[in-house]
Amino acid sequence: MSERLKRTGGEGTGDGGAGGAGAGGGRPGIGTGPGKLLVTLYGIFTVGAASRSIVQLTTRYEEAPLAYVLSAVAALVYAFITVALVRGGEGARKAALVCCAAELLGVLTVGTWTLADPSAFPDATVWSDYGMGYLFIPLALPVTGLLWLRGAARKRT
Amino acid sequence: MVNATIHGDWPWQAGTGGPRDGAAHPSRIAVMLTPLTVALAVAALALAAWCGHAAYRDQPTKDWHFIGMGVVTALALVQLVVGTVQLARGEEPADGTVVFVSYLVGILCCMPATGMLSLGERTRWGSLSVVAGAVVLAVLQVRLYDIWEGNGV
Repeated sequence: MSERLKRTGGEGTGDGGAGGAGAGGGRPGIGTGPGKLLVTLYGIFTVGAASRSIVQLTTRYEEAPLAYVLSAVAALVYAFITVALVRGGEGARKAALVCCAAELLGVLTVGTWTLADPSAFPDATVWSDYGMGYLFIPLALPVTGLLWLRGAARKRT
Repeated sequence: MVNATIHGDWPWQAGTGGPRDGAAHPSRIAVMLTPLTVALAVAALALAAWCGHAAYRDQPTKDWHFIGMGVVTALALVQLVVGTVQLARGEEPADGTVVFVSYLVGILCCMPATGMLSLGERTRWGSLSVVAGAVVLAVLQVRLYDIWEGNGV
């Protein structure tokens, strides 16, 4: 299990990098390079979804319980992926892969659900209308995440 | 200056004139918040473009970028203070105080957080992280305005 996962390919992390790219020691670099941008975005969405759902659940839970609970679930998934990306390692990579798939499923399900039965959602969630209110980033993130994590596995072999 | 005095728009006069109507007589401080919001959004977008350029040229964030992040963070700090003063004077954001304050704090954290990330990732991806943070900050400015004015979603 000591295979090093240093990204040597990728998109030109070569010269401008000042040698910091592989700073994770022997750890697979799922949280470095392009992965670092994913960490940033997942971190932002964790904070956003978590604080949003905390405020909504504590102040007006009755208004739209389903929407608010789904926001909280989204926050948990985001938080888990963020931690997995930062920690690195093969186990974390697989866990993050599963979570990204779950996230994609969640966005597609909730997105379709909100369009098919808007009355179930008096208030919006992060995943409403496929994340349209968030510039479709909630839809783009898991796809990017899945591609990135799969790519990390390929480079390992 | 003279007008403001006549209308009693000074902070220390807040308690003297009975119940104040913030909408009819916007205070000096309240008048500051919107331009500050615009300034922060513009500064953040400029920083995003700048760091985006660095990423495009395959470069990490440099000292000058960090100075830029410092400027944006300083503006965010001023915004936090101005917003807090407004709350202390009894004016209320349309969407609630808690949401307003958490946005102010979140805005303040944007640049330090992504700046730190870019210190740990000395590649173009670190620069792109700062771009993401700056764009989020600009979006938060729009939301902050909605929260204050009450025309939000």
